[in-house]
Amino acid sequence: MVRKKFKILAPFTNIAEIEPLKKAGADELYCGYVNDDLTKKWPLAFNILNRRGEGGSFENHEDFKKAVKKARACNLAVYVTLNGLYTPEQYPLLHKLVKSIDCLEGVKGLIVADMGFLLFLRENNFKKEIHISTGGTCFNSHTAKFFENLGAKRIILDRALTSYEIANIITRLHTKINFEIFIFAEPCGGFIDGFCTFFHCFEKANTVQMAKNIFLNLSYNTDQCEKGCMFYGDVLRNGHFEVFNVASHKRMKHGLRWMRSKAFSFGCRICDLYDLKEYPIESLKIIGRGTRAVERVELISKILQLLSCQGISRESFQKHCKDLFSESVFKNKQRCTKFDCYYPDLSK
Amino acid sequence: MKYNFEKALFINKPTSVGKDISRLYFGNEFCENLIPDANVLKGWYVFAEKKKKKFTFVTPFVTDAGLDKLGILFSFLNQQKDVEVVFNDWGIFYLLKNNFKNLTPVLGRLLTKQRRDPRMLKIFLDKQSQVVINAKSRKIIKVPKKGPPTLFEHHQASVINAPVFQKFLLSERIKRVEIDNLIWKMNIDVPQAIGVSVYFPYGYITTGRMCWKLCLSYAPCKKECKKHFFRLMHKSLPVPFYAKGNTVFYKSSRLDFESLQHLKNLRIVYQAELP
Repeated sequence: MVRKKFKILAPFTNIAEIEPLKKAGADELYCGYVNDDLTKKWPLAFNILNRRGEGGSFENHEDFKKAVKKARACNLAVYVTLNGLYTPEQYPLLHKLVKSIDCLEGVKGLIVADMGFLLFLRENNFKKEIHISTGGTCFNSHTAKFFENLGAKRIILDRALTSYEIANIITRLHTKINFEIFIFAEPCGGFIDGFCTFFHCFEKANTVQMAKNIFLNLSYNTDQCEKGCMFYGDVLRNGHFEVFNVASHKRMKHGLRWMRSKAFSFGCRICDLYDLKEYPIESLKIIGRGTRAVERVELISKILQLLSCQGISRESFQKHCKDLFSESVFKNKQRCTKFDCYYPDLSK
Repeated sequence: MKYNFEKALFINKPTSVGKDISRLYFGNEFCENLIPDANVLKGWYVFAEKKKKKFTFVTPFVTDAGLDKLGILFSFLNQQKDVEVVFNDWGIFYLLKNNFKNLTPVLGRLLTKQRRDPRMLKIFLDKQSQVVINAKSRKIIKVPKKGPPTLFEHHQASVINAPVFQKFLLSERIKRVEIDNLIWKMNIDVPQAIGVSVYFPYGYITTGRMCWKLCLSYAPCKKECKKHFFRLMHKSLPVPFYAKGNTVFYKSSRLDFESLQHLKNLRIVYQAELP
């Protein structure tokens, strides 16, 4: 009965997605919510207010309120991500936003990454649950305990942890704090979410046709900076790097090459569920705010199908997982390798 | 103009230490696999003592296995006088707070959360030219969409500017925070009771646990970071970018004292080599 062990937490970006997600088997939902006052000063595109750019959050209070009401009617708790890193000028407007969230019954809590903001919520008697985002960088049981003492109810663990390390955190901690893990997709290029300060900009294309064959595009100049951490992959892929000896600082001859099969990874932890089902992990996180809902719905159904497998061996379970991965990501053209795991054990 | 600040040197090999250096830093901020053995740490502590310098031990973010390793090292350091421990993991702070009260905790630069990527400068400067990006002769003319001034102001500051955070730090006996030297003018606003250390000339941009992927080894850790590092080349980089092991750094050769001079308890941590 693996299914009953975990809740499925799914993202949504508009009201129409709620019912299909519920039908697919989501147990709880999360979304972004910002308002005009905030976005005028800190455009959504720059991932300052939360970790999604344009199109990834509710931007209108009425739409947000209606969606929360709908989710409540569907018996789905809603968590709101405010997982940016904030500076003092932002706090008064964030305070207003939080107040407008705090009074909505359907919202069960906030997902936060910033220590200052967490303390601010405590100081202002925020009544709902506080979850520590993966941006809170919890890698050990002491960090979990630290956040629990500050009032956190759930911790979203970083992707770059093995199932053994996750189990270790949980077994060492004899408290009631809950854990959530990422389950599928978005590996984040090999960097740690909460420690990555690479520029990221998610801007919607805004091109206007001025004349035949001429288009005007208003943009934040982001193409000249290349896209966030993708730049790093491009540099390696194209061999645009030099290698130096640490001791002598002299340029070295090297045979280092970018290898698509090993460097390109989708990011997945489904196989780990066989072992992790023994531990009190509350929730499995499906990602994809702002992406096509149909993909999330399909994914939830498949994961639930997988979790309903009972009394099978680890090998059979893992075969099912690999089948799912192969079908979802590679359209059955190839099988996954250990390089597709969130944090593979390369010694195996 | 002469600026008043404390000088610290980050060391990873025996070196001559100038008289004006008051403190030596040792350790690693980015990788659990690089936590030193107890004997190595003792050796560096004795080195600092002989040179009559104060000692700061720098620690990375860690799993529970790393906490166990650090516990052993902290036991030794806790018996010494005036030792600082830079923590980049709140779990390590929790360990220090509860078990090693003789050690002075310092909030590391992974937790002070500046927005660092030098590539952002181009956006702040709004330098955008007309570009042809479509090969089929359909011209797309790009015009700058100016960001509000608050965007740049946000990138100059840090989460440590929040008074509620500062109050917490002081209540927890954390009286020093560490930051990177950004390539644009910084706005760090902390009370006098909180000292600020600025790392120079290497700032970190991002880090991970998968150095095999970032440095193209595709194999378990063989400490390649001790053997080689990468210099990244790309038209979008306003300053040099380097990758060493699991971490990407930038090099900023200019230290903007003007934006730091208001800080009463300023320390510059000089790193002669990539960390």
